[in-house]
Amino acid sequence: MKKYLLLLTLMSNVCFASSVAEKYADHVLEMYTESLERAIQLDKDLKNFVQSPSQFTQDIAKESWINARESYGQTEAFRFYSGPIDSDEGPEGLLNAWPLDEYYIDYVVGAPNAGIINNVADFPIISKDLLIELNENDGEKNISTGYHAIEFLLWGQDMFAAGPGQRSFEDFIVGKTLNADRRGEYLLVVSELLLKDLRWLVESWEKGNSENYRAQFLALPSEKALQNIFKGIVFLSGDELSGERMYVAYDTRGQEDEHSCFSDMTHKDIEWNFQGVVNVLNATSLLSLPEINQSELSANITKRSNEILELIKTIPVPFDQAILDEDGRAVILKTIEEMEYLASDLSAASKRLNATVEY
Amino acid sequence: MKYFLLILFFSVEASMASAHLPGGKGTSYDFSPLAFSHPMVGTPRSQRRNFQVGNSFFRNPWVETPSSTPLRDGLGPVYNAVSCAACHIRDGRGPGLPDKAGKVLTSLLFRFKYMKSFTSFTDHPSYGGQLQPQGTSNIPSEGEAHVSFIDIKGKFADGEEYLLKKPIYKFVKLNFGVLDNKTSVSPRVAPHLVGVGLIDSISDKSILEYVDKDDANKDGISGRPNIVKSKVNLSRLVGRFGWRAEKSTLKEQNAAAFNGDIGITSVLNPVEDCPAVQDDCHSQIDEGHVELEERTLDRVTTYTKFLAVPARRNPTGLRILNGEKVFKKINCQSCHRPKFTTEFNGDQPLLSEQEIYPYSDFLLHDMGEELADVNDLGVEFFREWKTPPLWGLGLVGVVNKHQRLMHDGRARNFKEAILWHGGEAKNSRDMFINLSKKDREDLVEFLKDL
Repeated sequence: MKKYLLLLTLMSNVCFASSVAEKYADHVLEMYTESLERAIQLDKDLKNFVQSPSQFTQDIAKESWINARESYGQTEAFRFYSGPIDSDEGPEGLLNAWPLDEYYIDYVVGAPNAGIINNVADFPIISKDLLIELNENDGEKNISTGYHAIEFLLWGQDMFAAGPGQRSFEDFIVGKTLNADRRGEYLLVVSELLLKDLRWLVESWEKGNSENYRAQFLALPSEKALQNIFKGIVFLSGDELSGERMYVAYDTRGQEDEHSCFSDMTHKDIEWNFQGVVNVLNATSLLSLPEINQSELSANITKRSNEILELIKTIPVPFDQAILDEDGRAVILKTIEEMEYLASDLSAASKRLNATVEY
Repeated sequence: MKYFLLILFFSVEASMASAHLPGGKGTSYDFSPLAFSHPMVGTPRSQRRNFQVGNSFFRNPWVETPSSTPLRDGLGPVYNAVSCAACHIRDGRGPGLPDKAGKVLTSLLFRFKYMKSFTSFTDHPSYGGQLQPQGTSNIPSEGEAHVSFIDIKGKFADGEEYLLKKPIYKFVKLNFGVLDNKTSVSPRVAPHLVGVGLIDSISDKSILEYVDKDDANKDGISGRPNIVKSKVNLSRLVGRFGWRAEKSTLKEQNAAAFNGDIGITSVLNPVEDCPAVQDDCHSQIDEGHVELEERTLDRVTTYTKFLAVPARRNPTGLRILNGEKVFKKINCQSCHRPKFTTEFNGDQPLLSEQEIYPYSDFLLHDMGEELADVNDLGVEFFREWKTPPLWGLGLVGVVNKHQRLMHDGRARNFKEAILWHGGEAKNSRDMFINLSKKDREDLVEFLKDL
């Protein structure tokens, strides 16, 4: 009898865990689909802006960019286990490359003729193929596409302590500003590439395709799939977000070390990234797996995640000024610490689930 | 009797346990494509944060001046790559060479030595210390390196054939004149980085123990240290970083790579690598301004210092154990010295007195004519290479999706790498040729488990 019971428990564990993988795959697909939809709206608003540049159309495009970032930011919890986003063909670098070589794209203060946009002689036509080609020799030139390229072309350099960059819509009015037509073309080509990469991510996770990454992921042994899920949230919380995106700026006190430096939206990036971690926990219910269900560890993880979400909201805005202000620094450091503790807790949970991710 | 066996079993297990953990107690356990990128297990929190900051400056691209990111600008004027990670992809090893003739890959660079007299060598008067094939906007690059291959065919003793591809280098689009016959050219590929902090923690004395400059033990192998001055640690003399052990400390290795490869100056390397003949580049040199702040260099050094060595995957596998025996039988360990114990370091328990298994003696060995620099000018030093560590090599395939080895990536797999060995290693190579197919394959299995 006991034996059967054990077998039953084992079986239910297996089913439970595999359904975690499925729930995860559904969640990933949902988030990439939403990111794509919002990027499609952004593309429309960018076209509208380029066709009829005005303060109004520029503001709409900016709002649309922020809206698109909100979805994409939450997908960053799907990184760090060599899934589609990080695979060799994976578009992470093209979508989210940072820092941006703005000087390689367009004029900056002190260099009025800089960038591909103003280099008519070498680059007579701005096209998708050109930007792909310029990105091809990895490591030779800087990548000049993705969300932050669009951000730079909408907001411009952030030379202002109190707020974001102040690029004028007139930069896009043909005849009024040098190479305005090429600037518009560049913006739309980058947007087109963004859509292409997001489409590829959606396809990688789509249901009903036996060849795509989703099929591979669901065919993994359940502990392996679970380990990948944990890698995403442990490394985002404990290293990438708390370390690379927050502690680096805290440590260097450099205005540049905020990720959305042109739009001053870094505080939201942080919130969205962390929301991505919480989403994974919620969507997969992995804290309810039998080994840790209703344990103190699970309770701590839930409690701590909620506290971090609240803490993030208290970080003063803009982030590039908060890192210079004593009160701001204290909150930032506290948030970093809590994220590190959360990563330790998540690592402990992964060990109990036989899906060890060291932290 | 039974008890005796049990005791024997336990003692073998105990002595093996450490060899399974090549990087000491900080050894890591992720064998995925990110296997080379983790901090040592147990890295203290403050170090882990500095590791993150260092990673940021290692991984993210440097940009041209002026930019909105002054801490990260200063790329060039001439350079090889825009970031450390562009060549050390995922902290791993660059392939260096393409599969077919053509332009060499970003991860392969070329050092120059120029003969001033029979005994004195300097950087090249027009090109400096190395070829930088990229220039920032409006700055001409120095030129391009192309490769073609010559087939070298051979046979194992059992009749199985092999085919090596010998790279022949050609330099084109040279913007500052041809490379004349006084110039010796040394190709170097970006190696994987795991464990460099542990190597930095080996005492000079431990390395010098194995020196046999005049081959007193008559084994045909005469390792000698590259004695170099250190600017940051005056008591440190033995080089151990770089393909020719040119640097004795990790910090100096990092500063030199920033300078030569990315065009980023620091207090240790304040001058860009472009001689006066390169007007456009040279005129941008501003020795008063350092692009990489000291504390950032220290962060990057912390980053590299704590990069963990992954554990062995299957150290007790039967074929792998046989491979390990073959490794010893054909005398590989004479240069690929398995074990070191690092120096005591009260501040860094993860680096202190650790038993580590790099499989290198960090000494220079004559590796024969085939591996010598292009136009070696008859100089012995230009045929010598530091024994490279073997730890982590088994995961290069997973991390970097290629299996190229040797100083320029000419070997396409482990077998070819062994076959390329010459000079002092020729005896071992010849013994390899004479092994049975099974022993050859087991040896490769052992190397893949490191």
